[in-house]
Amino acid sequence: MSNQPNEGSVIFYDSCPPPLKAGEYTLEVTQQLQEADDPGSESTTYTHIDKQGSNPLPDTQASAFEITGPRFLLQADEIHAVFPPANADGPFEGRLPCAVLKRRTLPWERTSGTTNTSKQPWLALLLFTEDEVTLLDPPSCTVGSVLSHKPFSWVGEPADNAANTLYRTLNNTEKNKGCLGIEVPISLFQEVAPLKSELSLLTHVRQVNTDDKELLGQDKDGWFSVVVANRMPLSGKKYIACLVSLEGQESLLPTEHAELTQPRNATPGIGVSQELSYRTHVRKALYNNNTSINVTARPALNPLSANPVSEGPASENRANRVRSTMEHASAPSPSIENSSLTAAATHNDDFALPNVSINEGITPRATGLYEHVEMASWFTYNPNIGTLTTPAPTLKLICLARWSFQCEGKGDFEGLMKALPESGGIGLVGMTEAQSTNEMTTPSNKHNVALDSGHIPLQHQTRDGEQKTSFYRGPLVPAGIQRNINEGPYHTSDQARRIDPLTGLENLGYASAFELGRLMALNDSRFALELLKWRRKGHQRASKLIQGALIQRKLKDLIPNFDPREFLDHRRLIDELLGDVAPRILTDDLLGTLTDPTGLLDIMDRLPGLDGQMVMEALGLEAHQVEAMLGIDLQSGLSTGGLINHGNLIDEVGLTNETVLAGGFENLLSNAEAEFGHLNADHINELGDFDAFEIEGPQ
Amino acid sequence: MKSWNNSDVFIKNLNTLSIEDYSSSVYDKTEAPLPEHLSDWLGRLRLLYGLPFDYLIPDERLLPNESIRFFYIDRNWTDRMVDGALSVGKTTSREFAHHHAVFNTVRRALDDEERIIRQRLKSNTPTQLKGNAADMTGFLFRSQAVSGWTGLEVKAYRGGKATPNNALRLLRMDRLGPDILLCLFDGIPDIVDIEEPREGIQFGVDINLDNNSNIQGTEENPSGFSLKLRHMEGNSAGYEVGWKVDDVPIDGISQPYTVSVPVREANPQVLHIDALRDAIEESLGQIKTAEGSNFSFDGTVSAAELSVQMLQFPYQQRFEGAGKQAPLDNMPEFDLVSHYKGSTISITTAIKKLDAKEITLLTEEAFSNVTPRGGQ
Repeated sequence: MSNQPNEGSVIFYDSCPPPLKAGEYTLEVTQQLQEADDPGSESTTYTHIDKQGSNPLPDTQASAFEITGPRFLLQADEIHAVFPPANADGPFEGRLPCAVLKRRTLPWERTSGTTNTSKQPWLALLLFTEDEVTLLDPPSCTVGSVLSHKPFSWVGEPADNAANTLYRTLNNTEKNKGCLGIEVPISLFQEVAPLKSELSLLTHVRQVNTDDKELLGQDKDGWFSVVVANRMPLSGKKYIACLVSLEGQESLLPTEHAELTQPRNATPGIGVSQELSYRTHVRKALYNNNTSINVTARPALNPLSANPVSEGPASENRANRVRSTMEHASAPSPSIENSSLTAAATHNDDFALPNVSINEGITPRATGLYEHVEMASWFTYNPNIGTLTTPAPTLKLICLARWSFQCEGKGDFEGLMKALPESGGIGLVGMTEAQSTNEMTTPSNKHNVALDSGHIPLQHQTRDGEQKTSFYRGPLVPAGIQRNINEGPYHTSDQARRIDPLTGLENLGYASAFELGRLMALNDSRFALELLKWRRKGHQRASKLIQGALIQRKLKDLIPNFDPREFLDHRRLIDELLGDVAPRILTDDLLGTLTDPTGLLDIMDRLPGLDGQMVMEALGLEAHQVEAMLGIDLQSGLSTGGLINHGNLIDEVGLTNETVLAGGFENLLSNAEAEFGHLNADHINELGDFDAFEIEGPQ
Repeated sequence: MKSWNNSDVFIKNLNTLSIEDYSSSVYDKTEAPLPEHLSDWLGRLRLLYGLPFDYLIPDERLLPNESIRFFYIDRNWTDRMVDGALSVGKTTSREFAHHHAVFNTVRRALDDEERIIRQRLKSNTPTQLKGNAADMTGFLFRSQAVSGWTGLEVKAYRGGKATPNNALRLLRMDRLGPDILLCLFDGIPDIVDIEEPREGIQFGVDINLDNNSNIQGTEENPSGFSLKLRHMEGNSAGYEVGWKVDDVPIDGISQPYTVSVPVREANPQVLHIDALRDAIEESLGQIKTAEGSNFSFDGTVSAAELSVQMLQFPYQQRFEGAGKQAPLDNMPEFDLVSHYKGSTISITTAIKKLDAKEITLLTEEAFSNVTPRGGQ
């Protein structure tokens, strides 16, 4: 569409009525002939067309046509969005429900007015709590059954029932169509439905930019009509929002309502009881001083006894409304029996008014539906019984859409955020001064400082069983604390315990952190496993590095002009040396204890169970079985990763037992003993002193 | 029985070795210092994932209902926690030596890791990290605003302006409970914005709440509902009308014009739309009288204009603080400032400020330089 609003902006329109409303129309076509040089003259000269002289032009022709549109049903895709979302559960206090319709003309395609020229929209969004309405569903609910509903059948049909008028225009097919509906007490409807004058204020059209994909989805033109409700949800209740058809039923709507003029009180008990009390009042206000009725009410909430609120800046209209309320207030109050109904019994339309007597000549004050319903049929005088009863006259309405939501949580977001300073406060983690004073029985400055810096005293049971008080502070602190990267690593939590020299109290914050980390790691078996694997890999690398340095040093002594860089560049060479060759160089007497960390080699003669030959003979096993069992190679006597390290650092270095590669080092290596022997004496006691074996490789 | 008689020297020399030493000599330089699973696990530990809530807030008075508490992360604390995790299975001096050797490398690796975990969780490709890990800060927010509004948006800035360039990296944002939100930032923010989730346009009113979060009416505003007036025409259409006297904002702060929203006496949950329209018309008329030609208003409020007045945009709460670098000034001030479409309301600045000397005494002298007990 052309004329799109800019991206991110929305244009609002009051209404978008279609040129013709939905309905049946007749198109009448008549022709007139006019003389060309006398446009104003009557079309009289046509004899040259028809020599017969009779009417040469066809008679007025009428053809009937109908403009259709949603009437009793609304397809789901006609509704773009609803708020609050259907079946949602959230804090919608302070938000008005609304329905966004895809057809911009829809609310004006029919009218709630009685004439077809009325500009009143025919849709309204009404909000009821779950227990206020009866939901009607097809197939039992049909258009006919809703529209022919006679709330006052027990006294006869009201004279001017718009719904029934509409009913009479429908044919049987239409009447039998299933539809969604609701049944509400008339009084409730009067209470929450928009005023006649408000109906159009609650409906508007908006145009948005179609580039706003998130808002629009697949829609193309960016035009929507919006119907807004006028009732606020209250926290803790389940609501049903109904998009109802008011076609031709404008007369149902209230025409006037008094404004609330005294402060709404937020004492506990707001909600059902208060809403009901106000409702009771409305009914009561219907009777003027001509009436003498005993009406039950809750005196504490009786608005009739309220003091008039001084008029603030108000428009003339508003002032009038306020004054009209005052009129009610100043009228001689009906005698109020302090009978104080219980909340359970005060459902507006379920209770019977006991002992009601009614005088002749009542002039109803309220407007709208009450006017004709009020005295004619609300109370009926039954001479046989002599008392009055209040049945619950109800109203059925067609719902074009209906959804429910739960209002949970209080207030709106803005209110909650703005209330932060007064409620829980805004600040840095740590106790306030007042709190810290209470915490310590004998407060000193030191303690307050500790507390204000986030430390709090907690009971602590020492490993000796002693109960004492220690400071704890978690990872969240109220002040930036210098990270001490020279500390650590710590190996036990005890290393992290600190004592405050001034108070003698321990600070266990860091010790707790250590223990917590340890316990969380232990709790995660995969982490522990990966940690061990990683650490073993580190050990292997460390050993390789150390041995590489050792070999490098020895080669340097052996080979003139030895270039360690070249040596180290041959990664494969290093691997070979460390993988298989090195163990042969670093035989036990060369490396001594390093190759025998278990110390078992010295006592091998006392450990026949580790001697492959003896085990094989004693148990009658095959050689490969013994080899597999003890992890040794029977022929070479070398370990393959078993219990014994025989001049071999299997576990440390991850060596393999491949055959020694033939190559440039073979000579050197084949006589390792002779070559390295004289060095042995010098280095055998310095094995750990790797300053002598600095890596000289590329940095 | 023999022992590893040179172990002391061996360990000492192992200590000087690090993973860089390995990789710079004979091993693959591209290999990460920590396996992925370990670095991820420890990175999350750094971000306090899985920490029992009692360890964060050991006393519930530290985080009462409806409160927000900003904090620095004590990096020593998290380093000790990592020490503890890496101490699992550490029994011999060789493992001790290994830990010593890798300690600094691991610390640096985790400094990077903790900054990309959130991106990885969101399945984004981690962006290139710039510079060293900064001070880590954050806040705990306990409120019905957390339980009621899923998808709050939190943004933190440093540099005095809320611009994308000043945005701090969000390291973690999680609910620790139904109504408790934890956020961690990479750096010390001086602006933190918490914004209502954007769920399209809504209609509604502002609610005046009492201490129990119930709707409360007052003499001036019997319904407890109010609306901030918006401009209807001109360039600022849709924006709230600022409150000024003699062209000078009151207290230097622009206050919005508000009107009380009338409700029906019969049912105070039902808005009196007619009366609301009249009230808005009247107030806008008054403003026009006061402002003269600066303010355009045609005298009537129609359906479209009324809906504009009742629009509720996502509310953004701004918190501003001094954002001082640790440990130069230890107690930054966080002020609550309401920020709403250009108008700002300062609400409170009540944070106790500690003497830097006191903090230093605490953190350095009192608790640090005491000989450790136990240990190896």
